Amino acid sequence: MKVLCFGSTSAIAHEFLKLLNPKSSELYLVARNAEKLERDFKDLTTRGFKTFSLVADLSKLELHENWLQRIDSEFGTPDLILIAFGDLGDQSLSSRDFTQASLIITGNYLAPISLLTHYSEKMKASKIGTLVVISSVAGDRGRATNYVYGSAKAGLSEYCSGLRQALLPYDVRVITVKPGFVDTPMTQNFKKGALWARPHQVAKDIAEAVRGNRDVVYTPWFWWGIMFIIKHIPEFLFKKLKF
Amino acid sequence: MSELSPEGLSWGRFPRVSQRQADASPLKPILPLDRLFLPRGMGRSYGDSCLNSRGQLLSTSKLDHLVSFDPETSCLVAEAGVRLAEIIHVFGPKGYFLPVSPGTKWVTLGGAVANDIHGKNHHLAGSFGNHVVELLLLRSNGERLHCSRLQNSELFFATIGGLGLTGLVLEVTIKLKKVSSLWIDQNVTRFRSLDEFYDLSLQKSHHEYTVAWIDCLNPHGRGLFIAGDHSSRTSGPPPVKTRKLRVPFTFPSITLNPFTVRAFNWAYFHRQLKSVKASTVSYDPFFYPLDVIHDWNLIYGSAGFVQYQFVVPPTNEGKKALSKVFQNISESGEGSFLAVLKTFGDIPSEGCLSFSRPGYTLALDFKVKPEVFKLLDRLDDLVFSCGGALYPAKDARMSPQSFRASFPDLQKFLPHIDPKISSDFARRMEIL
Ligand SMILES: Cc1cc2nc3c(=O)[nH]c(=O)nc-3n(C[C@H](O)[C@H](O)[C@H](O)COP(=O)(O)OP(=O)(O)OC[C@H]3O[C@@H](n4cnc5c(N)ncnc54)[C@H](O)[C@@H]3O)c2cc1C
Ligand SMILES: NC(=O)c1ccc[n+]([C@@H]2O[C@H](COP(=O)([O-])OP(=O)(O)OC[C@H]3O[C@@H](n4cnc5c(N)ncnc54)[C@H](OP(=O)(O)O)[C@@H]3O)[C@@H](O)[C@H]2O)c1
Repeated sequence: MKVLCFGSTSAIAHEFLKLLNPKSSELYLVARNAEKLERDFKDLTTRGFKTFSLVADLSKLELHENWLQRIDSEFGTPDLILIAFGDLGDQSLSSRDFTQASLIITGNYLAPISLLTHYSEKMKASKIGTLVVISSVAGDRGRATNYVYGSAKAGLSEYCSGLRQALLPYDVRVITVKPGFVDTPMTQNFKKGALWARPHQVAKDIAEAVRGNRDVVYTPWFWWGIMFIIKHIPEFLFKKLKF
Repeated sequence: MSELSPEGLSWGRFPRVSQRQADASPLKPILPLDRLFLPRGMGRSYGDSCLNSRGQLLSTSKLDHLVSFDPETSCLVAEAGVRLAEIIHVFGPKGYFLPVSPGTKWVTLGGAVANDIHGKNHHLAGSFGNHVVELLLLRSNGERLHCSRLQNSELFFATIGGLGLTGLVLEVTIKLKKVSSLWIDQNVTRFRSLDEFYDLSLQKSHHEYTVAWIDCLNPHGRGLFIAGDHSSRTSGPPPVKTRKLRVPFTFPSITLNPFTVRAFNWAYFHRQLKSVKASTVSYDPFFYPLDVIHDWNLIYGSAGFVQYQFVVPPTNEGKKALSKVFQNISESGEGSFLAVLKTFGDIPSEGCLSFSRPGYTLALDFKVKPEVFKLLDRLDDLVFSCGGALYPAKDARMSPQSFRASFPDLQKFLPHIDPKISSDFARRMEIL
C-alpha cells in the first residue's frame, strides 16, 4: 500500500504512520520543517518502511503544481492519502489583521483543497483509493475564541462531504476526521484537562476508520455527543455563551 | 511546565513529594538552567532516585524516535525516551530481542542505562550496560558528547549506572540479540530450601533465563525456580497480546495484610502440584507478569511501599547471610508479596556505580510502616557483614554509609556529576 502524507510531522500523523505495517506499506512524507521531517524519516525507515520525503510549505499554493508533479513521478498514485497539516494561528491577531486571517484560511482550507482537487481526479481515473482529511470539531460551530481557524475547518469538512458524494461512483472513499482536544505541539501552551486525548489514541481511531466503513469520525468518540449538543444550542443562547 | 502529584511520584509512591516537570524537547533539548534538574524516564524506579523535589524533572517522553538500525551488527540507535516495549514491538517480529530485560517493559532506554539494569539472563549476558555501544550525552554547559569505551570513556562508565546525575542521555546505541522466536520454553521446578535453590541454580545455569520466586514467610526459603530459553517453535499463532487489567484507584490499606500475603504466597507455591512443569509461553507473561495489571503499585494503599533489593557474594558468608535474612523476615511476620531471588553471574558490570556483581540478589517489597524500616535496618547489617550491596533503583531508605559501602568506586564517579543536576536520592546520600 502506498501512503502519502501531507503534514507528516504532525504528532497525530506520525502516530498513524507508525500503526501501518512496514512490510506492506511505502510512505511518502511531506512537511515544511526539514529538521523535524528528517527525524521522522529516520524513525520510520528504522521501523522498516520504505520512505520518501519532500520539504514543502504547503501554504505556498503557487508551488503546489511543481511538488505534485515530483511526487507523481517518484511515487505514482497512492492508495491512501492523509491530509494532516493544520495551523491554529493566532485568533486575536487574525480577527484584527486580514493578512493573518488569510494565512490561516490558506493553510487550513485552500491548501488542502488544492491537494484534494489533484488527487480526486487521479483516484477517479484509477477507480480506487482513500482520502483521509483531518478537520476539527472546531469546524462544527464557530466560537469567539477560534472562528478564523474554525471557519476554515468548517469549509474543509463541508468540502469533504460533497467530495464524498461525488467520488462514491468511483469507489474512492473520503474520510473526515474530527479530533477534539489532542495533546500535540499545536496545543502545547494550552492547559490540559480530562477531555484531552493523546495523539496515539486519535491515530488508532483513524486507523479503525480506514479499516472500517465510517465517513466522519469524531475522536475520541465522545466528541460526537459533545458536538451534537453544541450544534443544537439555539443561536440566541449560543451567542451569549463564553467558552 | 506542570505541577505533578501522583504521576510525579516514583513507582513505590513513597516518599510522597510534589514536583515540577518539564519536557525535554527533541530538536532543542535545551536544559532548563533556572533550577537543578533531573532526567526522568517512566518513573519505574521505586524510591527517590527518580525524584527531585527541590529542583525539577526533565521528562524524556518526547524523545521517542528511533534513529537507525544496522542488521549487520544488530545495533539500534534510538532516542533515550524510547521504551523497551516499543523496541520489542518493532524488532520482535524481525527476530530480535532486548539483550537484557527487566521485569517490566515500561522502562525507557535512558532509565535502563542510568540504573545499569539487570534481567533474568545476568548469569550469561551481564547487565544492560554491557550491551550499550555508545551514548550521546548532553551536559548542562551545552556540550553534546559521544561517549563510548573508546571516546570520553570515563564519562561513559560514569553514565552507565550513573543515576541520571552525569547529564541528559539523548541517544543510546545498543546491540540487540538475535532470537529464534518470541516464545519461551519454560520449566518451573519447586524447591523447599535455599540449598535446593543453590543446586538448581548450578544445574540450570545453561538456560538463558533463570529466576526464582520465593515464599519469604517460610523460614527455609521454599519457592519456584523458573528457567527459560527462546523456543525454536516458529509456527503457530504469534505470541498473544494479553488484555490489560487496570487497578482503578488506590486500595484501602487493609487489602494487603499479613493474612492476604500469607495466603497469596501459599497459593502461589501450590499452584503447581507437580515438582517440575514444562510449557511454552509467550515472552510477555514470562518476562513481564506484572505488566498485565496496569498500575499494580496502587494495591499497596495510599502509604505506598518500599522495595528492598540487595546482592550478597556467592561465598559461604554470603549464603549464611541470606539464610539469616529469611529467618529474620519470617520471624518478623512482615511478609513480602513478591520476593524474587536470582543468581548473578561473573560478567563484570562496567559502570562506576553498577549494582550487579557476582552473587545472589533478592528483591522484596513491603508496605510502608515503621516496623518495616526497623526490619530493613537489621537486614542491612546482614548484607554488609558479608560485603553485599543495596540497589539504588529500589531504594528509599539506605544510609549514606550503606551507599558508600555498596559502591567502592564512588570516588571515580563524583567528578562527573553535572553541576546543574540533582536528585532526592543524591541529596540523601550526601554526594552533591
Ligand atoms: C515491575 C518492575 C520490575 C522491575 N524489574 C527490574 C529488574 O528485573 N531489574 C532491574 O534492574 N530493574 C528492575 N526494575 C527497575 C527499573 O528497571 C529501573 O528503575 C529503571 O531505571 C526504570 O526506568 P525508567 O525509564 O522508569 O526511569 P526513571 O525511573 O524515571 O529514572 C531512573 C533513573 O534514570 C535516570 N534517567 C532516565 N532517563 C534518563 C536519560 N535520558 N538520561 C539520563 N538519565 C536518565 C533518572 O534520572 C533516574 O536516575 C523494575 C521496576 C518495576 C516497576
Ligand atoms: N491538536 C488538537 O487539539 C487538534 C484538534 C482538532 C484538530 N486538529 C488537527 O489535527 C491535525 C494535526 O495536528 P496535530 O494535532 O497533530 O498538531 P501538530 O503536531 O502541531 O501538527 C500540525 C502539523 O501541521 C504542519 N503544518 C502546518 N502548516 C503547514 C504548512 N503550511 N505546510 C506544511 N505543514 C504545515 C505543522 O508543521 P510544523 O511542525 O512545521 O509546524 C505540523 O507538523 C491538524 O490539521 C489540526 O488542525 C488538532
